[in-house]
Amino acid sequence: MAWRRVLRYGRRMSQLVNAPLPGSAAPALVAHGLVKRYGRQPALRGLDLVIDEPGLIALVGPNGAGKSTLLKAWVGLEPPSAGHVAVRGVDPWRDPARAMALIGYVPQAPALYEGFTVGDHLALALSLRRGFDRSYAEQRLRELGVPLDRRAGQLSGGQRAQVGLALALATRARVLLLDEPLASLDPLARREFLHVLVDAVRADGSTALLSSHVVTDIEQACDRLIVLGNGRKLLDASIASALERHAVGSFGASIPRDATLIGDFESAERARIQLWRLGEAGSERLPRATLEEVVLGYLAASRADEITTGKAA
Amino acid sequence: MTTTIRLTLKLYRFEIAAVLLASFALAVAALVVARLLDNVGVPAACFAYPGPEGSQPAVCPALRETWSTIGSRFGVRVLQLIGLLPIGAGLLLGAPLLARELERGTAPLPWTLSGSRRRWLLTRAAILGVVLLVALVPVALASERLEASWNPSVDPAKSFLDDNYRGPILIVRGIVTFSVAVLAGLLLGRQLPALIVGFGASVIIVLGGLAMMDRWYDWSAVYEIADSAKNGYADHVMDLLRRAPDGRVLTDEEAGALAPPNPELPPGGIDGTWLDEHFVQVWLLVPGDRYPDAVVVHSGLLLTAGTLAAFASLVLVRRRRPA
Repeated sequence: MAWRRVLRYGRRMSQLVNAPLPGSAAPALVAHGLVKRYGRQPALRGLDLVIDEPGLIALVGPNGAGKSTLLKAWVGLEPPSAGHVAVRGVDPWRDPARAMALIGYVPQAPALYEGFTVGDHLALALSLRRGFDRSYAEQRLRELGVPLDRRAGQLSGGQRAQVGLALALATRARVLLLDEPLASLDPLARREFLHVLVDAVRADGSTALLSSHVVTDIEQACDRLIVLGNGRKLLDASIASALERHAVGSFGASIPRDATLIGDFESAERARIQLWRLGEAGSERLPRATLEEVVLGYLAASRADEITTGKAA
Repeated sequence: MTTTIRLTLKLYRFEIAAVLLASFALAVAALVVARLLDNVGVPAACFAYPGPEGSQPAVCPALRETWSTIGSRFGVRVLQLIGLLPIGAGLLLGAPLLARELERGTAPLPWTLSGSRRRWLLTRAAILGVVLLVALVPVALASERLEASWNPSVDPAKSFLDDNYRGPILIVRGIVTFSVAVLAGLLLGRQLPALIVGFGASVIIVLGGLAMMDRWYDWSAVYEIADSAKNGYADHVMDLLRRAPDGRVLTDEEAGALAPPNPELPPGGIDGTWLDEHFVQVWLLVPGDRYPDAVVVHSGLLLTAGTLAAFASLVLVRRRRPA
C-alpha cells in the first residue's frame, strides 16, 4: 500500500540522515539540546555535550544532577523528552541495534541474575552480543580472583562490580558508559576497579565516561572532568586545566580583576571558601583549588543558581 | 541457540517445573480416570435410548451406577482442574518474563548487550511458549481421552460436550493468557501485580470469547425435531421450541396463547397435551458436527486477542524504561 511505502521511505531516509558517513569519525558521544523530564520535574535542561577523545572522562554531580539520566539516554534506557543523543553518529532511539553494538554499559547496580554463575553471565553475553570476547572476560576475572562457577548472589559487592565491568569491557566496544559503579564499593575495591578500567581504556584506546560522586578517585584516573548540576553542564575541562584555572580564597581576600567568582561553600573546617575561575593576570597570588573544591564550588553555584563575576562584585 | 535455551530454562526453572508438574499430574489423572471408567465395562446398549418400554440389559443399572460414581467423583473434577490449567500455566510462565527483569533490575544487561529488545523478547517468549505447549498438549490429549470414556455414546471430535474443558481450546487459552501476562508484566514491571492483572485480563478475554461464541452459535443454529433416541448429547442445544403446522417456530408461551380456553387450567397455564397434539417439539441447536468449526472460530477469536497483546508487547518493549 502507498502509505506503507511512504513510511518505509521515511524510515530509510531517517536512517541515512542519522548514519555516519562511511569513513567519517563521528564523535563518540553527542548530546544536543537534551531535555529529560520526569513528570514536571526536569532532570536535564537542554544539555549540549560532545565527547570525542579517547580516555577516561569523569561525569560528576550530586544526586539528582542528571548523570544517570544522561548515560541512560545514550544507552537507550531513558528516552529524551526533547533534543537528541548520538553514539558515533547513531541515534540509539532510532537505530538501537547499531547504537548498542558500539556501547559497553555498566549500570549503577550490577545487573546480574542472582541464580546464574559468573560463567553463565559470560555465556549469556556471548549469546546476545556478536563479537563478545569471552576468553578476555574470563582471563580478567580469573586474574582478579572472581570464581567463574560461583553464583552472582554469592559474590561480594566488589566482585559483582568487576563482573559488570568485565562484561562491558569484553564487548570490545570503543565507547564505555559507567553509571556510578564505584558508589557501593569499599576503597580497596574502588581502587582495583579503577585500575582495571584505566588499563583497559588505555590499552584499547576507547572512550569511557565514568559517572561518579567520589571526586578523590577520579582525580588520579580521569583525563577530563564534566560537572553536572541541576540538569545543566557546569564545567567541562581537562583535569589539568580545571586544577590550573581555579583558585580558592576566603571572604575579603583581594581578588584578581579578571577572575570570576564561581561560588562559595563551607570547607571541612567550617570555614567559608570562595572558588574563583582565573583569568590571565594575577593568577599566581591565589592558592590553587583541589579537584574536590572545584567540584564543590560549581555545585554550590548551581545551587545558588547564579554566578557573579569578580568585576561585578 | 543452545546456550540461550539452557539459560532461559535455568532462569525460569521453578515456574517451568511447577507448570510441567501440574500438567503432567493432570494428564496422568485424566488417563487413570479414563482407564477406570473403561474398566467398568458398561456395554454400549446401556447408553442407548431405552425406548418407551425402558428395555435395557439387566446388568445396566449396577454398571452404570459404578461408572457414574467414578465419573462424577473424579472425572468431572479432573476436567474442571484441566479447564483452569491453561490460565495458571500461561500466567506463571508469562508474567515473570519481563516483570521479573524489571523488578530485579536485570533488564539493562540483556537490553544493552543485545541491542534489539524485540529479538530478545521474541526469543525468550518462543522458548517459554514451547514449554507451554509441551505442558498443555498432553493435557489436551488426555482430556479428550477422558471425555471419550466419560461420554462413550458420542464422538468427542463431533461433540460440544465439555467443550470448555478439553481439546485444542485449552492450548489456545494457555497461549493467550501467556501473551496477556507478558504484556501485563511489561506494563506493570512487577511480578505480583502482573499476575493479578494478567489473571483478570485473561478471565475477561476468556469470557469475552465465550460471549462472542454465543453470537456464532446464534448465527449457526438450526432447528431439529426433538428426538429422544438421539438425546442431543453431542449438540449445542440452545432452546426447546414448538413448530406450528404452518412452519412458524414458537416458544411454549406463544404456542400456548393460541390454544382454546381451557377452564381446567389456572390463569396463564399452558395446555401441554394440546401443544403436543398441534405442534412438533424442535430443538434450536448447533449440531455436534459443527464442533470443529466452533473450535476454529473460538481459537481465532482468542488468538486475535493474544496476537494484539503480543504485538503491543513488541511495540512497547522498545521504549520501556528499565525501572
